[in-house]
Amino acid sequence: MAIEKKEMKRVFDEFRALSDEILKPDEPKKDKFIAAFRKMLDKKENWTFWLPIITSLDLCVKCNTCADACPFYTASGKNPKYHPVYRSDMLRRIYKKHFTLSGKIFGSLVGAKDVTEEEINALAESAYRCSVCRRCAYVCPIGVDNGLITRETRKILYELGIAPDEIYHKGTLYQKEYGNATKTPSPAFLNTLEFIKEDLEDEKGIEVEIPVDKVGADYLVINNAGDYFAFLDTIVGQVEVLNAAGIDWTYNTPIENGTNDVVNYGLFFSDKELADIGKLHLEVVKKLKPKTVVVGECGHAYEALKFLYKDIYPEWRNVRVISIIELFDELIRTGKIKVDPEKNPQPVTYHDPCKLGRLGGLYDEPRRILKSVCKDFREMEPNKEMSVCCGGGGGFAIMHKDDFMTFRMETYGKIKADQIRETEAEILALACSNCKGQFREIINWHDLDVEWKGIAELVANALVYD
Amino acid sequence: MDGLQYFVSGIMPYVAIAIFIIAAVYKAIRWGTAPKNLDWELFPVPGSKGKQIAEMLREIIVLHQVYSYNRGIWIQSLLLHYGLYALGIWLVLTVIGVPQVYYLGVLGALCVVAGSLLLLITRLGSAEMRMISSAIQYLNLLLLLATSGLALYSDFFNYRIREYFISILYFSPKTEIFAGNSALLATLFLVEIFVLYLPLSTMVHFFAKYYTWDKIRWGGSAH
Repeated sequence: MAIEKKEMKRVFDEFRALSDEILKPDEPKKDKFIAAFRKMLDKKENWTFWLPIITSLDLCVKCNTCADACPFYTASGKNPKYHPVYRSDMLRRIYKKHFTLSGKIFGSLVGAKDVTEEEINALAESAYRCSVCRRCAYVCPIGVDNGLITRETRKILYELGIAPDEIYHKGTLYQKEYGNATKTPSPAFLNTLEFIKEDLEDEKGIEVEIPVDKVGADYLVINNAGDYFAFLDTIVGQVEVLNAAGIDWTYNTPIENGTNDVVNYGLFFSDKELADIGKLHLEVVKKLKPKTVVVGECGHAYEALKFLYKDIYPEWRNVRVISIIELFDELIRTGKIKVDPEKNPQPVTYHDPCKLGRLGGLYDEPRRILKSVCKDFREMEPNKEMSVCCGGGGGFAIMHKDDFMTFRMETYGKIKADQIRETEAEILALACSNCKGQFREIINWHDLDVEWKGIAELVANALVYD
Repeated sequence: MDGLQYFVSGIMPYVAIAIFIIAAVYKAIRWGTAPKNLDWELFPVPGSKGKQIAEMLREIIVLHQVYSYNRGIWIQSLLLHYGLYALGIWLVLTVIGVPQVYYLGVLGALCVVAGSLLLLITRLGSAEMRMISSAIQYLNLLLLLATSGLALYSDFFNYRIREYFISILYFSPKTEIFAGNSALLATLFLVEIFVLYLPLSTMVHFFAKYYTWDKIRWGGSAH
């Protein structure tokens, strides 16, 4: 994957997340940067995160509690540049210099410093060395959120047109234009569903229905569109489980002005893009009127649909959103599906996706499922709220230009590889597309003797038919 | 000397208190009137308001986050915070007129001296902490160390200070209490600096934490 490395200018460290065409490292951008920063500090312009960013910029006491919580910093051998406070201070210094009285009067005494063009380039790259897993925020005694500072930095950069093409141009812009980030037209999507039906019939002898665009269904299930290509086994398992449960459900095509892709990469770098994609989801819900929207195995989408949309679009407050993990848990607990753990006899461990766990609160549901459908469930350590990000979060799972894959694999990836080995599990259960994308690479890169599976695959494999 | 004495003991107390109140109220209004941000919680979120209060009390009383995730600075931080709590209580009890409260003041100041000194040594001794520190982090600790140390040296907690506090409240400051006692006057000056500086500094976390935890980390409502 190291394709553009020689041609790309080094502006922060040995990696590059942003192409030269997007970053334009030789082009002056300070004035625009300061103007965008000012906008970010405006209560009305940035109401979405004004209080969290202001308090995070103002209150850090430099107690260093966040240091050991940051997987990137620790895995890098504590490279000072990757310290979460160092990264935040790259922005905080400018904030103090340009936007605080104390910074203007006392300067470097209070940590204020003006920014150079080179430092803006470095800051732009640095904003893509943090997956916004918010493990540092979880441990902070004050409530300072370095992850948020990273995200707000990305928002400033977006105002300058700077965002990784994988999540912006080929992500949110594709999703808005084509109805999904994979540019899959509806006929191709429907063909995939037809293939799934045939596959289940041929391989398992199971006849299934795959409703599409059904109005008023109990459950509208929206997956990451990339799953239909990259993680089709998860989708096949999902279809089998939903059919076995005999519930009223449906998938959807993008319909008109909508999307059949649950992702919202705007979450990673732009509130405007977040809202734009949210509007596509809202259109679908308005047209199909489901009783519940079910987010497929996708962590960041769960955060967006469950927690963020309701304050952007008041209509969304009437939309019930659950994760497919919650639905599976409910189906098992209520006996709508019968499962036999003996059908998954291998030792299984689970990685808590940051967005489903620390940011979503789903700790018990996946564990109840896995203990029901697997004979030998083993915890990975640390887990739940202290789970370490796999390194696929924040958009990283689909970013691989230059030597970015090395960054992903040798930092976050190295930690996760060691944690998986410790469990001696043969199967790694995953509940998030980005995690799957990252672990697929980790397993190969670190030569792990483990197979990953989506939760749906494990549940489907454990199904018992009457 | 008389002019300086009058300024520090007759005028500065009101300046310090006024700045403290204005800055604290300004920040409380600034944060309190912030538009509701998008939900940005960190789970687990305590399941009820009662549990949230209990968790906050655990933070105040034992600095649980520091204990759990940064044990290396916990004892130092605990000493510093307990010292400040004690001094706060001492101030109130002194004004009320509770006898024997002198010892609480001395104990509080001793804790602040020990805590701030140990934190200073910790910060200076850690390459990682030095790397992320600006001058202001050292100055904050030096201010706490100097103020509490000088308070012990000048016998600031002597029960006679009550007369002065009461006189301040009645807007007729007894500046003569400080006559010929430059150490006591210097202590008062540092106390005033500390009071006016408190809400302007990162030390404002003593009440900012309500916003960062209740409004952001816990989403502003019980779950």
